[in-house]
Amino acid sequence: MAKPAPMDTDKIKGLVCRECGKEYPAVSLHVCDMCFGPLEVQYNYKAIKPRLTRKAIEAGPKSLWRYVDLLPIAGDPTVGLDAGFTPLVRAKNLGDELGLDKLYIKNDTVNHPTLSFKDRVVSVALTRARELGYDTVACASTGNLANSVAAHAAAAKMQCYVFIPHDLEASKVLGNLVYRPNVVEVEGNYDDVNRLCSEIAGEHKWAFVNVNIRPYYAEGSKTLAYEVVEQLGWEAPDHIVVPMASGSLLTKIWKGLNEFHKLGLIDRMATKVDGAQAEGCAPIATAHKLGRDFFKPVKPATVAKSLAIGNPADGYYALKATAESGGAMDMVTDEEIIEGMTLLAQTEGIFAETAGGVTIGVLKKLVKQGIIKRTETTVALITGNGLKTQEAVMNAVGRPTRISPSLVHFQKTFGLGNHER
Amino acid sequence: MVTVRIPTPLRTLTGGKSEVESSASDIQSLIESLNGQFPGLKDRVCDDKGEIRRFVNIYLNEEDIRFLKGKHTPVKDGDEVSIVPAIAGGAFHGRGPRLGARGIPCSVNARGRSGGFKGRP
Repeated sequence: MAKPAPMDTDKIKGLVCRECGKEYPAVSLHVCDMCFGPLEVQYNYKAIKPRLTRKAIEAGPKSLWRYVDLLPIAGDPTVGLDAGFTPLVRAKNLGDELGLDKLYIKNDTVNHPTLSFKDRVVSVALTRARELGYDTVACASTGNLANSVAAHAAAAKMQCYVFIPHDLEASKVLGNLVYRPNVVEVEGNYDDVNRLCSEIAGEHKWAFVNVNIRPYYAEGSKTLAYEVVEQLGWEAPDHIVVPMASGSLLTKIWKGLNEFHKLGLIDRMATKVDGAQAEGCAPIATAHKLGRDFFKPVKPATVAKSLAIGNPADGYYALKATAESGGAMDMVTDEEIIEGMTLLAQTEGIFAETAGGVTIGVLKKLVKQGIIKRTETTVALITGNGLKTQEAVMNAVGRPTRISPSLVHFQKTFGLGNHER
Repeated sequence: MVTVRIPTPLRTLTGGKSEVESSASDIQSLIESLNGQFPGLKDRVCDDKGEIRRFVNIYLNEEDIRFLKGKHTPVKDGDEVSIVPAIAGGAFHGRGPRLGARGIPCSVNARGRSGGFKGRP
């Protein structure tokens, strides 16, 4: 096994508690042993700033690693070299439908290799896990994360355990098995899975990407914000609508935008970060509505299984980020989720998973309420692929029209005349 | 008497006890009285302004006191109070294979076996 690399102290100072500020070395640790707050990576921005220019980034690889200077790895990336740098689609049709002049879809339904934004966080987490000397990786997942960990572990020749709730969509289960990890289906919901994984992480020295490797893993989400800004021509949008499960993605979008601003890569940063949840699992959006900075955990019951986290680890920070940015939060019903999915598919040709339906549904609501205005540049983060959650839309998309292999039958069925030459 | 459940990482302060008793009348005085018995406990549970730390959950008979009256929530004879770190478990054992147990609460020593890791000798 490769010798574990020390941290690049030029780039990374170490870990720091987000609550009490206690500092730690850059090891596999995620909770402060003094105050129980979560840890996060602390960068040496002074050292990073001079070498991080728009030009330098543009000359980088066409993947999330073009932002390696702001990612918490010591050496060169070794896992997930092709993840990220997904299309930012100008969504004119959907914009017309909703009443927005400048709407964009950040399309992570085509992320490499497992078709969700989790390929970003996993690339970072597994590269760092290797640097720390681990040869076994694991995760607690609502589906997409497990798929990505399993795929990347296969390619990186690492041992792998993925833990998922017992009631996931068929494609998300198969999308683990095919890579031959140990797939553990837990009788319970995600919050049960997560609790179990915390216990397992205490017993086995594995790299649990979203437990003990979480400070590194979570940083990978920032690349979505970086890409949006670069793809908009080095401009920050007015609104970004972000789906929320643990709340980590939204928190890191806000962090990424602020980093770019602080480092002088964008001149103006007035982005409002808006959070989207499903009504059947909306602890964060509910707290936002009530004006609270703490939330009540819930028992999830929603078609958006990838967002079904009842006790969101970063709920507090998501509330804080949205408040700081002046953004909004809202929630949608299962029905609105399906509508959002089919609307996106039928206007832009993008088949998103249920979480994408949540994002589009909430976007629609925020425009209707006048919170997002017609002229504002707006980006909707579409984080996962609809082929993985086919069950959700099966009854909403109709059936194919069956005919015999006959021209006449075809024309008759579709009311088309017999066009003779 | 009120029964107070102590989480693993705080048991270094309670001499390993997982349950202690208190005759306090609300959460705040309960924490003060526990701190008298087990010095240092308050610092771990409360910030320097005396507010309960954000990532420490305190439950009165299963209900988060944030949804009751916070630290002024009254407690009475027969109640059960649980102190639970918001981020669970593995926190205190999940160190990298290369690193020593620096400043780790007792839970690691009690449970932190090296099973499963096949990395460095």
